[in-house]
Amino acid sequence: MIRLHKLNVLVLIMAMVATLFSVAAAQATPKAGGILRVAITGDPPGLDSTVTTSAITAEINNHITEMLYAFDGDGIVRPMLAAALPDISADGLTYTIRLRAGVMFHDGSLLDSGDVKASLERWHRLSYGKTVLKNLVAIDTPDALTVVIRLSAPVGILTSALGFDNYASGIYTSEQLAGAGDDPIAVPIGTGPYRLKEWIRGQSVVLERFSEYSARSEEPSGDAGRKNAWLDEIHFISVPDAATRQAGLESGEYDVNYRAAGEDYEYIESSSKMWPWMPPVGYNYTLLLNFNSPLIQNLKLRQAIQATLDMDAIALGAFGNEALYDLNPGVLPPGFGGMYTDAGKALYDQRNPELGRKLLEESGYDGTPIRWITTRDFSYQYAGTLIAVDQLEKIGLKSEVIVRDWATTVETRSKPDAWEIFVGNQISGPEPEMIAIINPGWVNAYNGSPEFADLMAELRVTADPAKRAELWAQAQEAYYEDVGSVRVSDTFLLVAYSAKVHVQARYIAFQAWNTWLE
Amino acid sequence: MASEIASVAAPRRRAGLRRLLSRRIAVVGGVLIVVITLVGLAAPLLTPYDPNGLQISNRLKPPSGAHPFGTDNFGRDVWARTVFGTRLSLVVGLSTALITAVLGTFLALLAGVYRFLGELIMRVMDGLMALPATLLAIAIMAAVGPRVENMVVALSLVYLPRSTRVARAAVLVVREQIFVEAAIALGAGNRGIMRRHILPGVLSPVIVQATYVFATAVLLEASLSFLGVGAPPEVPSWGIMLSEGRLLMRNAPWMTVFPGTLLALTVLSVNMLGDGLRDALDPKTKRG
Amino acid sequence: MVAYLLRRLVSLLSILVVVGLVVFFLVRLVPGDPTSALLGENATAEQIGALRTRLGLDRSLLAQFGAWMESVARGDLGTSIYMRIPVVTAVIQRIEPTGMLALAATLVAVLLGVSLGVIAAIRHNTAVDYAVMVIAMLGLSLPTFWLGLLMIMLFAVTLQWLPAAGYVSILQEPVASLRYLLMPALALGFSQAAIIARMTRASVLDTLGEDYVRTAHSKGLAAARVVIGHALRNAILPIVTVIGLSIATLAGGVVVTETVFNIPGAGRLVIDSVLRRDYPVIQGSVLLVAFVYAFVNLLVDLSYAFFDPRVRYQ
Repeated sequence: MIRLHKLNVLVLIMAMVATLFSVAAAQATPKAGGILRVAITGDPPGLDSTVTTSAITAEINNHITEMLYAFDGDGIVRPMLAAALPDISADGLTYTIRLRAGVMFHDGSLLDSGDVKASLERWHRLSYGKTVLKNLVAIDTPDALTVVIRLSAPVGILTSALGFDNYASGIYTSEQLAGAGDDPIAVPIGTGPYRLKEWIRGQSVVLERFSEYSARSEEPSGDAGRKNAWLDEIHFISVPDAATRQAGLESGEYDVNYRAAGEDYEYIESSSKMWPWMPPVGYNYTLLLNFNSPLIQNLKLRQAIQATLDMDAIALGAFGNEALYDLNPGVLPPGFGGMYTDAGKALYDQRNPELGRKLLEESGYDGTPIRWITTRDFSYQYAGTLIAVDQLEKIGLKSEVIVRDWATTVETRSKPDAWEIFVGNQISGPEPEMIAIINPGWVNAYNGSPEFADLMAELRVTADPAKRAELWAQAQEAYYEDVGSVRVSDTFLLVAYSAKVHVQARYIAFQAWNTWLE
Repeated sequence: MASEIASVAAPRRRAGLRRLLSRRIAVVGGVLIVVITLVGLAAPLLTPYDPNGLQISNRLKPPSGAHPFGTDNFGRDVWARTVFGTRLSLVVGLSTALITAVLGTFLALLAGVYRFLGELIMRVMDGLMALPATLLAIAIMAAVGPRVENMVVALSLVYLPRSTRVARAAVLVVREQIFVEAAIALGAGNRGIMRRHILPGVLSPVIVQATYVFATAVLLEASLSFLGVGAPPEVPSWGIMLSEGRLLMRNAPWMTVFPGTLLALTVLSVNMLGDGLRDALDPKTKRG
Repeated sequence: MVAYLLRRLVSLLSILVVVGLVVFFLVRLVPGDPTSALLGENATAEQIGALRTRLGLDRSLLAQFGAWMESVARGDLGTSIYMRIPVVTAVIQRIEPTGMLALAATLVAVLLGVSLGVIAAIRHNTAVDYAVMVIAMLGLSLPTFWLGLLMIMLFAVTLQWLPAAGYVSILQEPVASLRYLLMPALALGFSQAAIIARMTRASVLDTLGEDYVRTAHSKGLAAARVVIGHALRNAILPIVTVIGLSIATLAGGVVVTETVFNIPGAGRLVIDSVLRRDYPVIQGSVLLVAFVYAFVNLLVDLSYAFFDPRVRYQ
């Protein structure tokens, strides 16, 4: 059974309400105009989401560029720049994609197949495309609005990968791609509802409405469907300090606090000046294990950790409010796409220190301290680490907590012999191939038991949804049995809005289209 | 303005009272410091709780009989963490003040007497001071890791040039005063000049500066925690408590109010001690 | 005097060389590199390696140092790895907010500090003295970030008198700019005021105790002229020292204040660059800051001679 947590139920209800009474939403007739001031956590590393996995970059870039496909609010892939879902040949080796006609870029040129070919080839060369399009033969452009991708072996998730905004396959004009080469694009020119007006480094990214935007006709849902650019401008203002972001929202300096603290959830919810929103897909909060360490290579020791931990205590301490996390065993989130499974749930969140102590004894553990690397730059990493360490010390596991700044922690994490456990948010997504920690290539990927590795290899070349779901359920079971990582929970971002801001369609990644100001 | 002149002129019969009063400030500050030190030393006797004992089910509880200062976001007892936190602040403040005062005075005296060496020392100090303090401390802490000894070294490096400059400014003034020139004219040795004439004149500003270093070192420790490079997790620290509680100021004001108050009180009493000592040590005050 | 000035200018150059050496190797002693900030959480090992090569981070330290020194000698401080703009441009963009904040805070500190100090000294050992000094000491005893947050809570969130955070250029909107500056300048200036007040009080007391002030008084000069004319003039030397020192301490406070009040200043630039390991920006801006410090120190030293004729330079 899929366990929907209350947010997903909320989303469902809202979606139903929206469909049934969409026009009858009496109190709120959208109105054009105004500037939305969004307090973000810091200056983005760039605006080109093809070459970075930074969430801020992706969320700003989503306003400027579009991909061939996009996910709707339920995690179903829908066409965006493509006219429809691709025609896939029976052998799964040829994808024919028709583009919408008359789509205009911010520079006034029209989208054609040459732009798509150049964008996808760059994505293949520099980004997530390298993994997904490993078996690429060629990208052809038989006419101005048709793109054909030819493969030498089938790919499980090509269509959804072309709509995934982490290491995104955004479509740019072929001219600017030729100019940028392998460097990040400094000033992205896309087809999105907003275009870049100004970027003052370290201060703000200013977007303005693109009046020539060609919207789709479908109802808005998630990243898909119609995009109404009600706002004249969107200002993404860099405000690194969390307390300042929230104070600025309350004093009216900002209209949106893009990352609010969980402890403020009830206050925001009860205030008439603000309202909270949590996108239904967040992150996979997990204890990442370093399999290069002899300690971690000991299965019994891993099982001892898995058996002992109380995930509710860890998640509550880390995120501050029950609304911000969901305890479920799924490595993929429930209610988003069709791949969620609770396979292996018997091994999830066991809260059994007695069993843990027994397993630890069987492991032959000699008292060598487990090295946890963490940073105070992200309070949830630090908090989860302290709580997990505390619980494990009670079964006799010794620990050393190494607290450094984020850049140091990232570097330490890439050293095979420098650490054992790292507690953090890992990216979540609708397909297993999108989860970095279980796919080869990522710095600390779990390469798995032979059983798990075989299942994943088969999954990567399987496109049939039913077959995929079956394979993934087996893989997740194997993952839990081998303790590939110790999953804590799904966690959600908390966005706090000023009461004068209205959002028409509930979204997954932060978006300010379909958003209007009173 | 008549009354100001009365106190400016400082009639002899009020001098005794003034000395007493100035001592009283020092005494109040000193007593407070002693009490705070005792609290730090006796911390395990003052609370049944482990300052690092986590209890998530009991998080963010307001002050009560069981937890007089409430609990923090990990369910730790704020009173226990506050009294144990005394230790770190005092150790960091005192070590930094002592190291910088002794080293700074020594360097300033060297600089005051041997002119070439003096130029060299002051250029090195200028160079050190030219590195922004917070950046220097953050870089050192990031490079060597968050240990208490490292923190003292980092803070001492930050404050040494300042202490040296204050001592040197005093040395410059005292040296140029006629009695020193006279002593040189009379053929007194360098060491003698330093000990008998310059050192006493330098002592007062150095002590004022040392108390200032003590106070600001405690505060910089808090700022470093705020900026992310603070004390290690197993050491209760007011700075860490403040930076953790800062985000919860609305939900759990007790997390910041108590350590904040004790921090302010500690720094305040160090300053009172410093001001009182200044008055007591000043030869002119004694003479008056 | 001219020879002294020349010598100081030469030593200023040597300071810059030393600072350049220290900062270059110190930032590289710190673990971590710029790729983590640039590529984000889910970057692949291959992409990290490729970026390191492209940025030249896989070359030897000595080669990197040589290349940097060479470009600095040409007057080129390099380009930011993270922001992809010249370091000089990045710093220039941030100078106005920091300069305004430092100026406003120093103004607050001097006005508040000197007047509190003089009042306390004149009313030495009275209730007024104690009250003034406790207020001054309180400023010295509160963490700047905490004071700043309390002020935001009170004046911005609750009373809504002043904006909570941000910065507006004084050149574009002077009135709004001052409204944005007021809270940060007070928060930062208050702690500096305390130091100046203590020094002023101590120095005025010293001077008031000296024989020639008594002599002046016995000669029948007006009371106000005794205090202001003699006492303050002689007290000014240590006060100037402290203001000089305060400018240095301010730089530390500026970082914290800029963070709390979200002012896009040079302090934040340096801290952000440290956290991102943006080496060219750290090195370039520290060199520039070092130059400013050394220059201010030189001015302070020169002002000794100006304010106190007893100090001579050889």
